[in-house]
Amino acid sequence: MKPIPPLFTVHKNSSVGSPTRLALLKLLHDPRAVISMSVLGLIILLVLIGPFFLPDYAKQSLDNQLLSPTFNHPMGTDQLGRDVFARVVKGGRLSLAIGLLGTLVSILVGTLYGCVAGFYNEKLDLFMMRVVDILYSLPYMFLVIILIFQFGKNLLVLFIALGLVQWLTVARIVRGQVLALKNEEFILAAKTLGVGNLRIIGRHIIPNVLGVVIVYATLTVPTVILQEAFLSFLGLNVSDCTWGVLIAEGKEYMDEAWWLIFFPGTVLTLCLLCMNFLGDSLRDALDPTAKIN
Amino acid sequence: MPTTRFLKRLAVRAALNGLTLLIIIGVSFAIMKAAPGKPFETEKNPSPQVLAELRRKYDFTFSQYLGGILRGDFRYSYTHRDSKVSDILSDALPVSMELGALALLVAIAAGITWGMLCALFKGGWVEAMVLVIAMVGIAVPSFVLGSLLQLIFSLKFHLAPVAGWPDPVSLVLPVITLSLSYTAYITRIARSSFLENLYKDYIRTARAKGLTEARILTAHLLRNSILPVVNYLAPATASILTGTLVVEKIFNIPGMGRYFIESVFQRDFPLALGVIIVYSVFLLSLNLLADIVQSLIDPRIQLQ
Repeated sequence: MKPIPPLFTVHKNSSVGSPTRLALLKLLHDPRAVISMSVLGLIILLVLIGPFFLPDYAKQSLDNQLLSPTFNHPMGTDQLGRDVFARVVKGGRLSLAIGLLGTLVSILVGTLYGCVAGFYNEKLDLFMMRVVDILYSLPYMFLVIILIFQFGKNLLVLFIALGLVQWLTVARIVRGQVLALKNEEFILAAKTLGVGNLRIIGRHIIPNVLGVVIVYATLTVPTVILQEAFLSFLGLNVSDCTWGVLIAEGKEYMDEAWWLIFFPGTVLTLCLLCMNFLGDSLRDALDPTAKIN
Repeated sequence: MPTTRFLKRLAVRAALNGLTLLIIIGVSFAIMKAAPGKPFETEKNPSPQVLAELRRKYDFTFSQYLGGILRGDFRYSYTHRDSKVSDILSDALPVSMELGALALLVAIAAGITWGMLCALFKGGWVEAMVLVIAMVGIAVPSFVLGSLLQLIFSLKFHLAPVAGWPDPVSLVLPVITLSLSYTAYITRIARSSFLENLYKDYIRTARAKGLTEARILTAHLLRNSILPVVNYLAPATASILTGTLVVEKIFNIPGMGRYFIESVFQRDFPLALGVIIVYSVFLLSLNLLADIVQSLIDPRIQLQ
């Protein structure tokens, strides 16, 4: 008797798997993503543990003013003799923290707003989205500038000002997703079983919009970092040492000490570049219609 | 063609824009009035007559301000002696417009050219290089780019002046700074649109008819793939306006952006308000115009 051949075989390395696993696989096959993740990982590691090994970022030394880069000071020293490398690392800590926190605030507000607008009735939706439309057409950078100048340069005002802008797009994206989701069968099934609205939003809607939100978040972090740097460059700095502040200071001494502006500027650009690349490839990876090649 | 339905929607949109403008003025007014410190009270208290005279000329309430704007009166600047805000604005607006328009033109021309090169040499090193440069162009902040350009071209090699408006040579660096990221965006948009159309039947038909490659590219491909670029222009113009803030500061160009930053830092409240209003009117009418143009080019798109 011949053995019955199996109906199908499962290959160990086949691309069949959960969507998350597929997305991860795609991400690891994308050279852009791998390179940007490594560079970002390196920057984050440096920023986290660097301050324990480097000289104090605020320690002045009037004997060492405006030294060009050497082994002792890999990025030179500034007009007060402070080590630029230590300042870039310290500034990175603050800039990255501001980017992450600002993104978190806007994602939370935007997701909640979008869920409420999309899930309940149409009149509420129309009203809430009109509000978003009006806020969208404000010349926000100008309002943010007067807001920060008038109400003090502190982190809370900065988060409110930047968060006020960024959540709008999140709200629009989430609302669109919710509108598409809410007539799906699994939501109807949950309703039929008597699950309450809040629980449906929390357990069924939000996990399903999370993918899109994560992609948008990776693209929001560089935007917030950039805007903070932009404001700092104009002199509306909330802290004495972020990348934007360093660039603004470097601009003052540009003709005698190029390293003061070159290193913070390059590091900021590199960081933004990697975050944009990562966001792009994450979007490609989470798109289930795209295939691994 | 404009129908009654179209006109009705236009009216609704215009009314909404008016409301938005009112909100913008109200919010900026409230922010500025709410700040601590009064412009008319100093350590040396002026006599009551002087104070009354000062208040008569320079102080105003919200309703007085709105009424003035309707008559084209933007009040007097606090820092520019004896200057009406409307005079300062009408000097500064053309400067910003010139800078912005030049940057936009450069971005469109360069972006479409690069995009076409990418589509024509798909998969080759030309495309890879252009795309990497485009990504860098999007990522590098304008204030870093502007400063580095000054450092390299003005301070090291003395090829271009650091600043010097209105000398045409001095415009080169600001225009490059302002246009680079938009060039990069347009390159990406144009490339994907060209690629989408390049293998369509009508291009094959055009080739079969024996048209020259140049004619196929301009008269057929370009015309059919330009819409996404046109759609991008309204948001691009809007953010170029914000971009002029920092570029005008770096290159010391006497445009609206520089006046805005100055006026905010010196608490010159009427001037700052004036700049915000002019920008907002520009922005709102531009968005409306973009939507109208879109619905005229492509009848499937309707004015909402």
